[in-house]
Amino acid sequence: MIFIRRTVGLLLGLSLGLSGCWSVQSPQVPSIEEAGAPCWFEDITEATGLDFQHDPGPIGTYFMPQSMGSGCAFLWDSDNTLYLYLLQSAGPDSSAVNRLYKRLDNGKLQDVTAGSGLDVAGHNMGVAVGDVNNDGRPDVLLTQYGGIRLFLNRGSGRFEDVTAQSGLRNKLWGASAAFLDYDRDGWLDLLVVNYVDYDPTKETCVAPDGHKDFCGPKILSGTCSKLFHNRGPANGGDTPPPRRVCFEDVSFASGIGRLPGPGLGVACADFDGDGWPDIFIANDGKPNHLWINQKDGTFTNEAVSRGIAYTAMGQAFAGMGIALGDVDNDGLFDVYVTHLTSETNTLWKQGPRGQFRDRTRLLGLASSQWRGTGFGTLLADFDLDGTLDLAVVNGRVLRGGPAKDTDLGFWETYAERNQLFARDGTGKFRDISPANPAFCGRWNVARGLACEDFDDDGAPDLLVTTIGNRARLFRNVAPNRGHWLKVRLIDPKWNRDAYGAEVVIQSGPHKWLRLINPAQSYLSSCSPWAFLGLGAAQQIDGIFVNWPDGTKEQFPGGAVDRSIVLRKGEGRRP
Amino acid sequence: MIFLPLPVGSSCRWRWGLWGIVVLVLAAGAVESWRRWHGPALPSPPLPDILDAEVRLAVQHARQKVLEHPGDAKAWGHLGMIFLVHQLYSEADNCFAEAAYLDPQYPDWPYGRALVALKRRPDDAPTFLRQALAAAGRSAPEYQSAVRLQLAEACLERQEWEEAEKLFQDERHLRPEDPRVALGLGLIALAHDDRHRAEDFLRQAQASPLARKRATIQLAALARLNGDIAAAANYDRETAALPDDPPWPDPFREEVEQLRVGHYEWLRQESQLENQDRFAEAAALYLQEAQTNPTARVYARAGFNLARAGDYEQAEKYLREAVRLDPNSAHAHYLFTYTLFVWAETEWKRAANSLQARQWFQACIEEARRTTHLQPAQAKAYLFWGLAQKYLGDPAAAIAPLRQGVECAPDSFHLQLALGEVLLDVGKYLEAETHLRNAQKQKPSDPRPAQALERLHRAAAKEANGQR
Repeated sequence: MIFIRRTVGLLLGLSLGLSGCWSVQSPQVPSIEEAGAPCWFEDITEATGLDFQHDPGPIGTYFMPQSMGSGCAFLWDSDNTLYLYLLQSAGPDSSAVNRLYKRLDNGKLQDVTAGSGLDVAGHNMGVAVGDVNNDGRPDVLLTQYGGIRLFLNRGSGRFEDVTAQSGLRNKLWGASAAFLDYDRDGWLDLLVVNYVDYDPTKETCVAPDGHKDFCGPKILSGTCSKLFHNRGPANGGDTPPPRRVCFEDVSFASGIGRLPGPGLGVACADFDGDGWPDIFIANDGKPNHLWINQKDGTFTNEAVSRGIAYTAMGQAFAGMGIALGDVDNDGLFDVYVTHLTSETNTLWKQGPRGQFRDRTRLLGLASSQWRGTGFGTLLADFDLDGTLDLAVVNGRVLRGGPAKDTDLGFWETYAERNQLFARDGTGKFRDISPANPAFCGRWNVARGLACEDFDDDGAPDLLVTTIGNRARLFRNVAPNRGHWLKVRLIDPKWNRDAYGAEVVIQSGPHKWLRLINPAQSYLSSCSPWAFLGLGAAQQIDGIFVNWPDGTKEQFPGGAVDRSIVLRKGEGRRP
Repeated sequence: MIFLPLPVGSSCRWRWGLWGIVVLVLAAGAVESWRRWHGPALPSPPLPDILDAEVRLAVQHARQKVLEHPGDAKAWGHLGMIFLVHQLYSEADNCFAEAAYLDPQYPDWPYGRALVALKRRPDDAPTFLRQALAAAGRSAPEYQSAVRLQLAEACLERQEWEEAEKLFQDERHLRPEDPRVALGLGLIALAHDDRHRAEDFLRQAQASPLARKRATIQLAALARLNGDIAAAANYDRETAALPDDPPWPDPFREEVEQLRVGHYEWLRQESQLENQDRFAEAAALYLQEAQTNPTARVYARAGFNLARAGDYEQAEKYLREAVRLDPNSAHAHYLFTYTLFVWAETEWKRAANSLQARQWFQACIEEARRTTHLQPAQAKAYLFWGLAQKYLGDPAAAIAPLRQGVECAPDSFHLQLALGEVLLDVGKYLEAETHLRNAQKQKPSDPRPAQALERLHRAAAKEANGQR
């Protein structure tokens, strides 16, 4: 009997060997539990009552804005109430309106959309949060396919649409947006990234096999981004806060309107170290733009010579989301941009100041357990060990994804899985996605990603938006977390968060840099708080702030594991 | 059959062993016979769900060849190439894998797999490229170069500097002037912070139209690294003005490109003719496509190209058909706007202010209105609307559409100039000057903004004198 079994086995083996192999390489499917990798997040969507379901509009129309998704925002009102704002993109005539949720004391979310003024329908894309009239209450800016809308915060979860009288006009397809004070006059200006000149009646796009599909940007012209100058009290001689806000379109005069995109992501920070805010725009399939502030109201695109327009091999990849952060704690922030599945997301390290180099492979980010078309992305210290980690949310823009047997229906072919990378002891990033099934295991067509300390435990939590599906909230449950500090910077003169400020925390030989501006990732607005993981540090020696107007201040250190609000003028000049 | 004498004492074990060998040999023979008599145990060639009729036909033909000659590596490889050019990557990879199994000495198949891997699993690409290079010994020199340099670049991207440099140097011995080699060696030198060497190589690469932009990009960063801000700014400007470099020469890729059929081949041919200003031929191609694909877009493009070729009457016929087929097509209405404008302008040049020209300008304005109602960000429609108003002697009416156009496309020289000129015509000098200067910035070599500014200054001075 044994002989027969062995002979049959031998024969089978032999026949297989002789007849050749069908050497199909199946996609790498790693086991979810990777040995030694930490699990960092749990899904608390249901537990908090977050019931937002994204509506992209009628399925099968292949209306391109559907495929680009919608963003989300965290918003702290002046009474310290935390709101979540989530966008719909089913079109202006749809009953699906944007939703506003309020965090209650018990950690649950209450839908407070009705009567908020933010319950608007449309092809909504991106959201930016900033106090445009310096009344201490953050206002909300929406970008849309074919428009923008500004809502002034009137307090207690009520907003007023002031677009018509604000001077803000944009008929183009708006994507990400950011508030910044580019002329340092104390009033937040607005940068709206515009994508492509898309006419749905011009192109019927098909995949190479003939199936209908969404159009890609290659056949479409990019459009120019818009810069709007906030005229503040100059309009009508008001004293702050002005009764109404007034913006002026300075796109061409500033230089930004002279060079088309197609842009998707935006991040504003001082890229060249001169104390003035610059603007970085991730372009889709075209070289990125780095608009360096010339301090006279104009900007010059210096992305090529600063090494950040192209990858190391000189390729202009499809730029989507942007994450800024100092990945090696050398005091200079670095830039991570997400791309297509067939490309590799790129990390440009800064050094010397103002100069960037593609160090993706060197930092261990060229290889991952699975690939994806990245959109929202954030560099944050999830395990609070003192080094930044990386989160990326994925979802294809064209058919042909690997997902099977999901409940995603039409969107299944676009679904991919998210990714998490931990900075390890060797100074490289390590893909820990398989060990994080809550955040990375689910097939989704993810777009927006924002972070906030939702449960006030000092560790950043994550909010993800997906196309045609639920938005998901993830609570940070990373084990063995280090000490932490949360810092918020307020300029009392302007009665608002000091967007554009840089804060450095020092503990012994260690220094950690954070940038204050909630606009990064993709179509989304994060927390105005800076989250710092301090590892084993038990004490802070000092806090150093570069304020947006160029002044520097030093604040005393002290205990760790606390939240602190620093006000300009209350520190001492170093 | 010969029976060998068995050693005493181990006869049983030896007998079993011998029987085992006999069984093995017989089994192998049986399997081989089965293979020969019952067809190959090769896999069935892939047959994905393809909607594009031309692509499906091309796949079916190539697949039939595989079915007829399942042991023919070239048949498998050809099917792989058809899948590759139509971006059906996993099917392409399967076919190349089978072709490579059947003929391991042929370099195309691992090279095809490498090209797929570069799109899907870049870490796998160097292995296939090494296989291709090892098999390419008897291929044409251009082919060997393409494979070697692709491998060199894959190594470069993976920061495997030593192997990359060796491959580039090997190629350099054969082709000392090759810009791809110079660029690769420049990138390696840059990675090692050997700036002088990098600059030498990059300048060499920059001299070739095949690598001009790629090299200038790197030279820009190098200049800033060296603290030469002026040079960096010049390179920034130069890069922005340069067209993208053409793809590197690659006989295999070029052969694969030739196999493209279907929708994307129509698009490629049509846009190629349009880019070469061969408008009549482009129109003919669209009309040919309309026979199987009679859409508003196809008729509109046919009409648009006929207009560009100067055949306005035919153009109008097809554009009317386009807007009849899809009255909500902003694209068709825009192309009709354009056609009516150039038709009217041509007529105006022949007989200024003729009734016919005025009627066409009026019709152009109506079409522009429809276009921008359907697509409010259609900047060029605003341009023709405004220009038509200007021709009709109503510059004041041109201001609103031109302002909207500038709002949508502030980078447009034509919109800035047109708006500047109509503002000048109505005496709004300050705003006119802004837009004329904007136009000047966008196209410094064009004399029209300067001429308009001169007029503006004269008019402003005259007005000031009159006021005095």
